[in-house]
Amino acid sequence: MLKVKNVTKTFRLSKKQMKLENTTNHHKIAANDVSFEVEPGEIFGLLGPNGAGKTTILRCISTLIKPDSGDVLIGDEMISAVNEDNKARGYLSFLTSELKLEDHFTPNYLFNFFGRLYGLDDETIEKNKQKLFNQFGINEFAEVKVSQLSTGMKQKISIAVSLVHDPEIIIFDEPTNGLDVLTAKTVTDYLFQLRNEGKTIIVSTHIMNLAAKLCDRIGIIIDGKLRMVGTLDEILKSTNTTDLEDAFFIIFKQVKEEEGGAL
Amino acid sequence: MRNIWTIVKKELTRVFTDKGVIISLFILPPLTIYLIYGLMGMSAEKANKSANEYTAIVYVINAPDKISSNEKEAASFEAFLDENLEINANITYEDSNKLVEIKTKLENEEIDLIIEFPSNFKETVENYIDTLPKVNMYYNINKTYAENIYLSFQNTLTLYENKIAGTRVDLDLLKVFEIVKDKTGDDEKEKGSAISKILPLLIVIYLMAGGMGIGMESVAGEKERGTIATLLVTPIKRSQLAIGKIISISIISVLSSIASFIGLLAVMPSFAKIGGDTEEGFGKISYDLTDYAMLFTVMFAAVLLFVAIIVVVSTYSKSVKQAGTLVMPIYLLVMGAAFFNVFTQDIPQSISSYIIPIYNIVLALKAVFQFELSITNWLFTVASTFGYTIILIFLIQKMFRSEKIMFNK
Repeated sequence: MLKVKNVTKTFRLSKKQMKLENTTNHHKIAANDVSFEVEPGEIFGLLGPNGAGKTTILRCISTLIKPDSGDVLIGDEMISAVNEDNKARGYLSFLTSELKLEDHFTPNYLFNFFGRLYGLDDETIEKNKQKLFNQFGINEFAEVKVSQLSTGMKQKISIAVSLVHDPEIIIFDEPTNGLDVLTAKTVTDYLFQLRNEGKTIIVSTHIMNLAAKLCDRIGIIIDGKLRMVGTLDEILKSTNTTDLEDAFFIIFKQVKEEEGGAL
Repeated sequence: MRNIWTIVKKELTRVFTDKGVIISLFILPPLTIYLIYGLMGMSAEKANKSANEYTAIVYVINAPDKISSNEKEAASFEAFLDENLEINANITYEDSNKLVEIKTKLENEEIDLIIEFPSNFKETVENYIDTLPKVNMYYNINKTYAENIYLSFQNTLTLYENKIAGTRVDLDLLKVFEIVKDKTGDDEKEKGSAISKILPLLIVIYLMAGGMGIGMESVAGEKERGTIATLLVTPIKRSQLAIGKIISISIISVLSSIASFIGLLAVMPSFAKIGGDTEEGFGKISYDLTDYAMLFTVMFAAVLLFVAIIVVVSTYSKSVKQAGTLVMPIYLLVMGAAFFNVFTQDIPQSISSYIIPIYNIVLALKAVFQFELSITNWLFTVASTFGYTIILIFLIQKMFRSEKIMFNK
């Protein structure tokens, strides 16, 4: 169970960033009063263009950054990711292309290392390792340094390592970014498997097809605000469309018209 | 505790399974020290040998014959030189009319020295004429060993002057008392004083330099590679991460320093030839167990502080390159504190001197080598240095929590 409650996060922009964003405002609201819930056994997708605030929300959930206001509550015990971040991390797994593994080590070493940091005993680490390494076909290169592996193999290792502690909540930022078709399929299949095991899963993506195929519910985020939340059918019905891409553009257009800005 | 050990193990594994890092941390520094200091020692030895073997070409103009007065006689200058000159010299004796030609030779660096006596030197001296005769010495400063040759002949001329003076009066009558040299004091302390000038400087430099490469890379490198965030999403406490990093880098720093010291000790006999004196060498002083205990605890506290400083800089920096730029002024400051102590003789005993960060480390090291570190001052040095390290660990874990520092690219 994951509850995001009125999360707001503002960043101060450097002069360079202001120039890039074409704004005179020194601050950017990356997440604006965002609230949603994700149930166990559900995949929730945050869909939005680049810079919409998806990664900021995921970072707030994963405790890497603290929201200015609001809270993120985790698990049945409703642990606050803001006030009890260390405890919350034990329930979470955060995977993003920004988080890298030290490529000097082997997958085997890294799995053991992160297992120990999550407080697992050797037996549990070994059991989880067998399961995940078999799942992703890592056994054959378990003793090869990460630096010598392909991008797809590295991504598989990252996923396996992030799941070392069998977390309740899995946060996945752009899960298929930069992956070949076969690896992407392995990843999406595994996410379905995790959902069936009752895990709470939240993914962010800007790829409409992936969101439509993968997510039980989708939250459309534009300019830091959650504009619509629902199942694919609910979103299509409410926008009177038959395609998620069309639905997204209608919502995007509405937002820009309300704000009086250009598309 | 388990998390700290996990981080320490990982950092050490990374270093000790990387051949390049092993070479750069543990093999290159001692090898470089051995080669550089060894070459310096060899060059110094060669230079001394060459100077001793060199035969100076000297011209003496109007060399005086035997000089007598009061029925006493001084040997001719030529005979005097044969007996008293301490360097190898090929001496030619000429008259004044050759002076211009010989001076040209000197300008052309063909000869080393000309000594010119006035033509009436013997008469002037023997007849006690008021105006003292002038003995001119010409030498070319561009010529190798010219200064040494000049000084050697100047000393010989002074002896010659005394010899002539001896013909005029009985020199023994001029003696009023005799000075008897009786050296007291602790020989060990004197030798310790010599060691204390250079060793604290080397210890401090090697301890800091040993941790710099790997320390700067420790957090800034992980930020650059994106691996620090992977650590930060795990439940490890930020303080445990900071302590783990500091302990592992400290171990590496100490090992790297030991490697550098081995290089230094290996080259010491050759390096000592630069000064030409090995009497004050290492290993000739017997420090007791307390001295060693104080020395190693101060060094232990020092390495933790140095590494903590480096990790603070590394954590603050966005890249290893920036960390390198930022750590350099701190390194110079540490070296400055160490150099400052090389030139001070007295060891302050006030407690306040032993709580000034970094300075207290150099001071305590200097004092322990001179057998002058009191237990109180040792305690204050070690305790305050540990205190500063704890403050820095607190700062590092705060920095680990700062989004601006950890994620601002």
